[in-house]
Formats: sequence, C-alpha cells, structure tokens
Amino acid sequence: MLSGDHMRPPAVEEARAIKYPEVRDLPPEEIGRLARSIAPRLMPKPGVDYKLYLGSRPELREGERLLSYTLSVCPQCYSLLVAVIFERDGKVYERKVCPEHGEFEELYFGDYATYERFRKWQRDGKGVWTPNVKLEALCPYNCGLCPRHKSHTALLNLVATNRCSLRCWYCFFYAAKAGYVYEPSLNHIRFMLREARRMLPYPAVAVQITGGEPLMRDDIVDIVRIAKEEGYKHVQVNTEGIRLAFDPELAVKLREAGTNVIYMSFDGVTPFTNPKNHWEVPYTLENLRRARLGVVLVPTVIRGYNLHEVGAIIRFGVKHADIVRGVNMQPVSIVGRVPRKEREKMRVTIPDVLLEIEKQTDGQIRREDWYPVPSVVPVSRFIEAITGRPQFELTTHFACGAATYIFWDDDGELIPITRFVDVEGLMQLLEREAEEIRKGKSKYMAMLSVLLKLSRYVDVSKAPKKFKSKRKFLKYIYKILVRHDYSSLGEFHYQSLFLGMMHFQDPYNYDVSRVQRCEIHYVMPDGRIVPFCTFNVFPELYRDRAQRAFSYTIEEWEQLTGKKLSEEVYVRNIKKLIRGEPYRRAYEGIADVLSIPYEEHVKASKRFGIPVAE
Amino acid sequence: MRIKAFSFEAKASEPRPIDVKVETRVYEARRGRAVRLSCAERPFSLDDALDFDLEFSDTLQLTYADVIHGSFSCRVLDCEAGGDTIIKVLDAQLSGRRVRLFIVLTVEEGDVRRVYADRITGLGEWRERATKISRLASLPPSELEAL
Repeated sequence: MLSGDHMRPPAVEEARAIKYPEVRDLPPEEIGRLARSIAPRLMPKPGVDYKLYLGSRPELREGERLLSYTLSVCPQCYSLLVAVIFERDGKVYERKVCPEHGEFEELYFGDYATYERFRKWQRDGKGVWTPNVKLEALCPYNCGLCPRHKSHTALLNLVATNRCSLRCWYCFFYAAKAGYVYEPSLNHIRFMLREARRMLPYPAVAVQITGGEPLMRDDIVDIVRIAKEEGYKHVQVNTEGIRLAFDPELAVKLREAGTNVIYMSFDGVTPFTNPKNHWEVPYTLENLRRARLGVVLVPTVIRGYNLHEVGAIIRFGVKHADIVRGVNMQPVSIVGRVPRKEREKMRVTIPDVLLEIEKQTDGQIRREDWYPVPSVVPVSRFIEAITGRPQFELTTHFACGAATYIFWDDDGELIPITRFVDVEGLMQLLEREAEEIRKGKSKYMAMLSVLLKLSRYVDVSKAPKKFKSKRKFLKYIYKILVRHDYSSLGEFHYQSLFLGMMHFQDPYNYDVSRVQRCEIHYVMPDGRIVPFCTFNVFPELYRDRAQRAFSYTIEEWEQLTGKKLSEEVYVRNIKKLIRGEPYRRAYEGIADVLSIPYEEHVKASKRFGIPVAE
Repeated sequence: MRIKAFSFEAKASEPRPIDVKVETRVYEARRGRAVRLSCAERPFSLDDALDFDLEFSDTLQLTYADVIHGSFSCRVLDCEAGGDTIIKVLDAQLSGRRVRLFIVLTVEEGDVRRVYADRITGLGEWRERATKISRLASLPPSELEAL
C-alpha cells in the first residue's frame, strides 16, 4: 500500500477514549465489555466523515461500453458516489463524479477479456449470521461486520503493534510518526481473537499477526500461542523479516509456538527494487530453513518500479522452494491524494501483472493459467454437500485476486497445474455433483462418481516428472476432496509453489461490491471486524480512530517498558551483509547483485529511508 | 405504527447475475388470525436505501449496492399497524426459483423490533421454521400456511 499525503486532520473522536495503561491488564471479558461500549462512538459519522451523493449516474462517452454501475467514494472527501464501470479499448475503467471535487477516472482491470473470464467464476458466500454492528449507515461506513457482508473471514489480521524499526518514506502508520503507541495487551488480543471465532456460519480459522512490525514485540511468541489456544488452525506472521535474519532462535520459537508460515515483504531481487529487506532476506531464509518454518514472499508490484522483475521474483521463489511456500503479489494500492498523472505511472492491475509474468517467464506461466479466487468455491460446496456442514469458502469478488500453482522439472521448466489438470472441468464436475446431492442423490454415489471421473481431468503425460505416477497425484486430490485432510493440502503445497495475486483497493478504484465480498478482515481493538479495504482505505475513519482510542502516549509506553521509541531504528550494515555466503547464494542465477558497487547499495538503502552503518 | 415494506424487481449481470422479483404482503396478528394490512404505495427514494438493506441483506442477501448494478424498480409500502405483532411475507422469485420467506416484527412502546427473519442462505426445513414463526407471531401453523 502506497500512501500519499493524508487527507484529513484527526477528528475529535480520534482522541484516546480511555487511559490504556489502566485497562490493559483487565481480563479479556472485561476488556471486551469496555471495547464494545466504546465501539459505537468510533463509527464513521454521516455529514462529518462523509456525505451521500447518489442522485445521478455518470454518463458514458463515445467508445465506451457499459458493464455495470456500482457504489464508490470520492477520493478527496470520501462521499459515497455512484460510479460507472465500462470497457474502453480492451480495458476496464471506473468513473465517478463528486459534486464537490469533480470527476475521477481510474483503470479498474487492465484487460477486458480476463475480466470476463474471471467474472463467470463469481460465487457469493452465505453472509455473516452473527453481525456485531447494527445496520445504521450505507456501505462502506457501517463496517464491523454488518449484516450486508457476504463472506466469512478467510484471513483475520490482528495488528499487534504500530511500532516499526524502519522509516520507509511512504509510511505514515508507524508509532513515531503517528505520535502514539498502539500495542494491545495479551488479554486484549485474546478478546479480539475470540470475537472472530464467534462468527457464524463459519468462524475465523486463519489469523495473520501484523503491524507495524510484529516482531518488535518481545511477546510475539506468546501471541502466536494464544492464537492457537483460541482455535486458529493457521497462524502466519507478517514481517519484513529483518529480526529473523539476526535471530535464528526466534524462528524456532515461532514455529514451536504454532506459526504455520511467515508472510514476508519481498519487492524484488535487487537493492533498487527491494531496498526494504534485500540484504537481510538471504539470512532470513537461512534461519527459516534451519527452523523448518515456511515463508510466503509478498511483493507489492508498482509500474515503473518493480513490474519488470515479477518473473525474477517467481524464479527466486522456485530457487528457494524448499522453504518458500508461495509468492503472493499485490498490485499497488494508492492511498492518499495522488495526482492522476502520478497514479498512471504507478497503476498496475491484476491482468497487467499476469501479462508481465507471461512475458518474463517466456510463456511458461500464461495468463490463462490463473483463476480468480472464487473459482475454488465448488470444492467447498462439494465438501459441504458431503458433510452437511458449512465449509471454509473463498467467495471474494472476482476482481480482487487470482491464483495458480506451479511445479518445475529439473531443467528449470515451470509447469502450471493447468497444463495437466483440467481445472475448469474438475470444478464443473464438483459443482454438478454437489447440486445432485442437494436434489437427493446419495452422498456415497456422488463421491464414487467423482472418484471414477477424476482421472479424466488429469493428463499426467504433461505433468512434471514427480507426478508422472497418476496415482500419486490423484491420491492428493482424493485426500483433499473426500477425506478433507488439511495435512494433504500442506503436503501438496510442499511439492509446488503457490502463486497468488491480491489487488487491494484504494479510493480511486473503490467498488463497494468488492468490499462487501471481502474475506481478508482486521479485528480492531473495539471488537469490530472490518474488511481490509475499509480498514486501510479510510484509515482516519477506521484503523487510526480505533487504534488511537486504545493507545498509549509515547511517554506512557516508554515508562511502561523502559525503552526509548526514538532509539528503535534499524541501521543496516551493508558491508557485512553483502560479504556473507548466504547473500551470494540466495541471488545466484537470479540477479547479478555482486557486480553492484557498494556505493549503489548504500544509496538504495538511504533513499528508501533506512540508514547505513558506514 | 407505520411499517415499511418493499416490493421490487432487480436484474443485473455483475458481479454475479441477479434476477429477483419480490412481492411483500404485511399482516398483523389479531387473536390467532393474520389480518392483511392495507398499505400506501410510493416510489423508492434514496432515503429508503438503508431500510432496504435492513430488510433484504440477511433475508435475500441483497443490498442497495447490489441492485444499483443493473435495473431496479421498487415500490415502497407504508403500512399502518395497530397490533403488536407484524408478519411480513416475502414471495420471492430468484432466477425463476420461488421461495417464501417470513419476517416477524414486534411493537413495544412504539419501538419496532425484528424478532425473526428467514435467511435464504440458511433456510432450514419448513416444519422447523413454521414452529418458530408460529410461536413468535402467536399464529397457528395452519394460519401461516394459508398466508
């Protein structure tokens, strides 16, 4: 997420609602009662935080073809507007007009053909049966979750701290800049985790501990342990990985506490495209390898910055596939006031990245190899029909994300799963059989039918060598579909590399129909659960307001911990890092980093905002 | 007490196909009988959007943000109720499939409280639903079936 200037001064409500040092040690239930009593006061206020301008629809112009209308927002005043989504010259755009701030037009999806292909996979979820806010305003100013929300939480984010030892130029979130420290106590965290576990029809089962930099907390291992105690099957820690580069024991402790995977920022394979952690990543990978703790690489993709390296990032992932479980790219989300010309230089959407990947892998991973997130819903629906119980399902908006799996042979050839599995046919089979069960077909007959037909959808002659045995591959699918075996899914992951893409929204391309289907949520300190794209797109109305209400002043925090916030700045020792063997090994065959002069390394780091020990 | 209800038609193709027609009838429970209320009709305005969401976001999993995608025609029914138990019957056609859903409201000291609403994504067996609705609406199941 790239932030421009923040748009608004803090509202009165953003003031701290309580003295956090006085409540931090209360039991979870009491913190919960307090939090719930404060939550209504923190909701966005109509007429103050936003207005409604829904009276007219933007007109289409010559050469534009109507696809749909939707609700969106004014990027300047957050007023709710009607937007038109249209096709022009093979691309999809969104346009809206704010009576106060004029017209905004933005690229919505870089390729109309992909838009149409993805659209047909849209499947909606069952909604949220246990909303924890009343319906009092239109979407997206009523988040909490409210009864409108169409998808359960697939991944819950919990902000453990707003402290960070980096001072990245674009970030306004970290404590030193925000002017307060947000760091919920362990009891408070337990309350927040419980809130998401109460959700019906499907409680949250996966949580991401995030920040700030969550590894700044000395009790991070306890947080992971608490998440496990509260019933989360999957726990991931979102980090820039720097502390893990220097603290191998921490990696072991995190894994032993129950961390399933590290979710690590990784924007490119050179110091120029990844000044955040280019030098530390090789050491982080070494320590994770020793700890047997997997990692997902998470590049934020920006046109004119690192789009030209998406192929190399995937190759880097394959090179380290013994420990890298996936690469999850995030086309840039432009939050804040950024002029149109500047946005156009940076803007990239999912189809644009897919096209670049196709080019940069010499056609080994093609655009058609990717499927939108809800394409896997038939698997959930089939299992649900068999078990009679609601299942975890990925029902995000089709434009939010895409994914595929790749395999590789010894000669380095990348083989997407779609080359030897007829994904579309398989999903149609599962959907048909689920429907048959609903109509009264015996579950056992349906399972048998799937098993007998399964082999029709797999062509092992085109599979990587490790799957040349048809039985081996079908065994995985059987275990996942019929035995609902989570460990089989894990095993399948170890044999492949997951490639994902998630395009978070910003005020320029905002689409309420996307946010209503969001599955990546944040639990806030007041107990509300908020979609990613309201939490981060309207930080003043959600994230900052709620966190400030439950924060320490910097003085309070320093008194409590005996630490100095201003001293928590990471200083990079590039000389030492580039001399190490892990550094050379990590990038060998991917990028010629050894030929880069030392001075250029230093410049890249400093330009980004990270000082260098010289 | 004024009770608001909606009858509408909506069609859209994005992000998922919507083809919905809903006719709502509003009843009041009086001594074990359901008496249909007479309602004034008027066109939908933006001020009704929140109430539309309150009515349909859980029952049909449909919101104002959904219907704005395509064509939407809606009549708002303003019904005058004197009793303390209101039953709304939603006759819905969802892509041709007919479904009947119930909402039960109670009126206490001028406050309308929604005590029951069928949910299209978790619709159980009619017998079970009827027992619950019947109890909440103080109407025998046979009376519900006749609505």
